[in-house]
Amino acid sequence: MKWLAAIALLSACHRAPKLGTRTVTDGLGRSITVAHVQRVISLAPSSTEIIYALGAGDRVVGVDRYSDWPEAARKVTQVGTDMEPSLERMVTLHPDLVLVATTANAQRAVDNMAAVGLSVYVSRTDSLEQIFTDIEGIGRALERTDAATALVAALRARVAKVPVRAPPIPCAIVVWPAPLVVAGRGNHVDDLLRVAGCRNVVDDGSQPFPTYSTERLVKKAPEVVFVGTHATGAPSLDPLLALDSIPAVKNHRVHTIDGDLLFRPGPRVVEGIEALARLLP
Amino acid sequence: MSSLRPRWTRAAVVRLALLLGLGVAIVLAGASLVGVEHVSLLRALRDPGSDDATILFRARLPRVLLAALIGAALAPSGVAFQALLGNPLADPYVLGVSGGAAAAGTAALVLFGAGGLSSALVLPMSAFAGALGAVALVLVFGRVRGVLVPTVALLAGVVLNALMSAIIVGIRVVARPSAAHEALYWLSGSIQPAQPIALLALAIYVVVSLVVLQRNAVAMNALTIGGEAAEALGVDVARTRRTIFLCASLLTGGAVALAGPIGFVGIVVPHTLRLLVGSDHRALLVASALGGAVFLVFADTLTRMSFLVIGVEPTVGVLTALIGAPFFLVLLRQRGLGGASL
Repeated sequence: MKWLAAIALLSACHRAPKLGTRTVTDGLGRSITVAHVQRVISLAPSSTEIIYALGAGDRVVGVDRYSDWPEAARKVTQVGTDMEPSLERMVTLHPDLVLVATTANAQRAVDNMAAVGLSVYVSRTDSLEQIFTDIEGIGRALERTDAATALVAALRARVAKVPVRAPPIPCAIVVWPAPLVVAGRGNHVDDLLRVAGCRNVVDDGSQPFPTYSTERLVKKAPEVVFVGTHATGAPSLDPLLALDSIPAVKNHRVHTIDGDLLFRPGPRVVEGIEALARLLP
Repeated sequence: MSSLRPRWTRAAVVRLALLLGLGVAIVLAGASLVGVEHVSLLRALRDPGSDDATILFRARLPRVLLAALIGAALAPSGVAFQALLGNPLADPYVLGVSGGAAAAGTAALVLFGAGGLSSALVLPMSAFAGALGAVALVLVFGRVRGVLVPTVALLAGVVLNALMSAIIVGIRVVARPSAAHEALYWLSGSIQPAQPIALLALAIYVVVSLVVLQRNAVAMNALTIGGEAAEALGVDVARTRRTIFLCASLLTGGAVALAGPIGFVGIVVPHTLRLLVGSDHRALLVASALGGAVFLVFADTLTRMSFLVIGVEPTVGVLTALIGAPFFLVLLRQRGLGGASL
């Protein structure tokens, strides 16, 4: 009887594509086969915001502890932090799909989810264009393709209304004032700055969010400095305001801006771009 | 026994302090002129609105001064712990005292934030309390049948250090995300421009502790040859230990409150200086304070400069550990854990 069970197990493993299943490609280019996705777990605030924006919020059965927008997401079962989610809690929620983001989740956590048989969709969003692609990809996975197309079109229309600045204005985005952490190259925040009409003065180095030299920032002479605020309010700007030969400091153009609009690669980045553009001289 | 010989007269100590003080001044000036960006001192002085002035006086100098103060706190605190525990390898970082201060500081940071008064008073006092608690635990668990055993005390410190790191990580996990970010530097020390009021407060803590320690220097000399022998020489051992305990904890707490736990300064500096000025605490304390300032300013300058090579600024704690850990191992090899001769 044992061999019979073994064969049954083997054939169960070798799943033929079932009727009604679809293959979607995620941000890493991996093909994921999903059926009708009724239960979703989101492990990144950006993914959560995308699901709700696509009108699929009622399918969210679990979120990471930083997913706090929209308000309804706060009432969903939490499955832990983005880096160390609770696999057990996730398994018992029986999700059809788990959404994770390269910006928020560790590769190891993704591997662990796959190992317990969870379907994982990984978002990769290093530019505004990739955020749009991601919205469409999640839309396909959730069978909300039309909503996704409409949302992206609406977002593109808003972006198109942002005035083009020639030449672009030298800016910097400060993630944290002390130790000084800034947005560098190769991340979506850099791209948001560009679209808003800025030139990111932090153009050296390869790290997306480097701990930066204060002296170098002075020399880079940004005209405008944006400081991202966090859930609990703005960090102290004193260390920045002391650097008063920076044009942005001299001309009172150090602005705080809701960090969630910039640092979460979801639909609200367009709101972020509009906020950045409004604050430009 | 040579340490009891009154070689270091008051005048000799003053001469040493002046000489080293001059050295510190030179190093501070030198470190202020070195950095990622080239600046002209002349332009900085002439035009207060220039980039040169901003970089020099707003970005570099406050950081150099803070590094000097932290070094001047941590190195003598190492000397004090070495005398207190009769162990050459004692150091606020190794003993978990920095860790205790950092854990209490993290808790205070999460509860009260890092505003002006908080950074000058609440954080240092919480860190001080954490340091006191950690030393007390080391002293309790470092005893075997009522006698302080240096090796056991050091091991207790190592375990305490691990516990404190776990507590800091734990606080970060349960704290709000942004507080967690703020608490990052409590895990690895980093010199960041501090508010003037916090700098002033640290300066006061350092000066007061150093003056009190210096007044107990002769008693500390006696302690290093053992509690009983010191008792025989007429030293109030219990009182001296209590004083050292408080001063060393205040030094560590004050430093950790502003820069997080920076390791090995209390090992590298005192041992190097023992080779130069000897083991007499009258000279060693002064020399360590000034030598600690030089060492940490040097390490922080390297930290700043490494931006040019790797494109990011590491924390200074990384650098002092890279220098200090091998130093510690060599010391361990030469002196051994048990043979606690200073």
